[in-house]
Amino acid sequence: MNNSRGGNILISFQDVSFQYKESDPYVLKNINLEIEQGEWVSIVGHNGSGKSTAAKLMNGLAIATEGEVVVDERAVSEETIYEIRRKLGMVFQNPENQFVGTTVADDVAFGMENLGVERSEMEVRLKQSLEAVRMKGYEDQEPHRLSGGQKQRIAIAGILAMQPEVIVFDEATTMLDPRGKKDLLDTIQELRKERNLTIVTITHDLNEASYSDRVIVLNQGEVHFEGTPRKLLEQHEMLPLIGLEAPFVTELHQQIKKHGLTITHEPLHYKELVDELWKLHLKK
Amino acid sequence: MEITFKEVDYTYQPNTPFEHKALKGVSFHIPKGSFTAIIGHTGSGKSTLIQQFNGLLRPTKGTAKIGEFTLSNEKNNQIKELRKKVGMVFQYPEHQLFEETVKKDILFGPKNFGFKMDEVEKKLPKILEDVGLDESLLERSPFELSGGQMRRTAIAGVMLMEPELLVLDEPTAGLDPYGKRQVMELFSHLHQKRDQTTVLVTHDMEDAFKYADQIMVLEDGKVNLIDHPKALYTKKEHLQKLGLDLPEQFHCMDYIERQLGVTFDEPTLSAETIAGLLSNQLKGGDTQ
Ligand SMILES: Nc1ncnc2c1ncn2[C@@H]1O[C@H](COP(=O)(O)OP(=O)(O)OP(=O)(O)O)[C@@H](O)[C@H]1O
Ligand SMILES: Nc1ncnc2c1ncn2[C@@H]1O[C@H](COP(=O)(O)OP(=O)(O)OP(=O)(O)O)[C@@H](O)[C@H]1O
Ligand SMILES: [Mg+2]
Ligand SMILES: [Mg+2]
Repeated sequence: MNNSRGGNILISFQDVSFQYKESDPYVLKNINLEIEQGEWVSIVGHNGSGKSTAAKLMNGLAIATEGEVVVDERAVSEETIYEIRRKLGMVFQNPENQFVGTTVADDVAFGMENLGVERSEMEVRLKQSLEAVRMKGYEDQEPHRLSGGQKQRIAIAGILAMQPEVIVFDEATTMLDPRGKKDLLDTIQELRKERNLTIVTITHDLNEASYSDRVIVLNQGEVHFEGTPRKLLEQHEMLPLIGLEAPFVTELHQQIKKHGLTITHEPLHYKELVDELWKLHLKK
Repeated sequence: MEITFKEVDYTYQPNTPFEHKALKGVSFHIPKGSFTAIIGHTGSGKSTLIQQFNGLLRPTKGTAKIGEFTLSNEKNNQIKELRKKVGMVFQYPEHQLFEETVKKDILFGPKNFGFKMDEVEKKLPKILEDVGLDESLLERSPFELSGGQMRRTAIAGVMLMEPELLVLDEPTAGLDPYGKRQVMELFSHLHQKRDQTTVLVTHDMEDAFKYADQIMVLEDGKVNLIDHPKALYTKKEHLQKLGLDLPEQFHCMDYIERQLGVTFDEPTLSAETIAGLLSNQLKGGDTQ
């Protein structure tokens, strides 16, 4: 399936609405979305806006009440979830919800076993993925007896080892230290280049979102905005109205305008802002 | 409540093959009424340290004095008294939610510690507003909430206890930016109003520098340094070596200094101030 831009659509939401119980209100309302193969999309939105619910609909943990979620040309349903989970890996908001093994090594291997990965290949991937999250040496530990950030790292390693086509990270880096976060963003970039991996990151950090190709903003169960990170920051005035806040760079740009200085576009990083201002200044 | 640690060791699963010493000879002092931020990379021992503050974990060696309570390897039969005064927001909110409904969960602490419940219930609407939790969620199971809603529930329960010592382990992880600001302002406001002692574990350097009057750096189960936020600014290489970082604002000021060949006197978190400095440099440059 291709979209108008010619890209191969991997995930689509077609008029999707969802309620947890019949008596509950709808938490997602008439969602239409398309995510292309190889794309990195971030989803942001206030607490309770429906981000995790949307993620659950992608891997069949929840099934659309109305409309259809399609992953790699298959509608997500009870019958297709096992196939879909081979392609789409998800790192949950709370890593403890996904631990199954009694040791870190078992836990990371579990997903691969389900996929029928060969023993020797499993060993290789186990090593690689623990290295990627800097948790080598913890193979024999119990996942539940790790620090908060270590748990998140193991949950991520388990999904990396499965080598899915799409990875959905649901606030998977909230407990990582600054370097750990940066390492993970770098790893994601590398994997995308190597394997044309598709990435969906759910985050509250607009700086993190600005690494992605496209941002989807949910507000009260509806798509409020869809576009490039730069376009989102151009519309920064709406952010406080929907529980979000403009990042530092946008605030700095706003403040610098008060001094009669500006650059031609909304910057994504303070370096961009300072460099452009400096260049304009030299030309004068 | 003041806190004094003397040579505290903590070992997980002692005398087993998994024995792990997570705190190693930790000594420090936190004055009453102060706001201390604890930073350190993943696994450095932050959560292990703060769980000693309410006796959830007890020193394997050494002593920890929390107000008038002394904790050591020996059992202390005043733990309940201690916990009445020490409020703790855990790193994962799921670890402190267990009741059938959100309301019961929020009221659990006060009830368990024998507070006058009619008075506590009167404070409920205000607390819900303070933490940004909708009243319509009160009868819901806490396990049917979104991540950020769980976090707010956990915080509301602890705040109702009006603790003398408030211990926060990554309390804003999972909150949306507006909620994050709202609860940090709430903690800061109560800290000042009630002469409460506050300890904040965080990876968010901006919050550490903005709210704390002292910052403690943990590294490999030891106190690496403890100092005023301003003093840490001059130790940024050191922090970076430890896998830590400085607030983005400080990096930005550094960058301006390097690109424009200037030096600023003092670090600031304010975009307004940084914009003023930058504009001065650019405009001032015209006349040179
Ligand atoms: N198991 C459940 N049963 C009933 N309602 C639920 C359940 N899980 C979530 N909800 C509700 O659905 C809405 C959307 O929740 P969701 O978890 O998708 O939000 P979110 O955008 O991921 O929020 P957060 O940023 O706090 O994680 C919320 O109002 C929440 O209370
Ligand atoms: N229950 C446990 N049993 C055994 N070891 C543990 C347990 N909890 C933590 N540890 C180990 O103790 C060390 C310190 O863990 P702690 O949770 O205090 O780290 P932290 O600084 O809070 O890290 P994070 O930022 O990731 O939350 C880590 O190496 C961890 O693996
Ligand atoms: Mg969520
Ligand atoms: Mg911790």
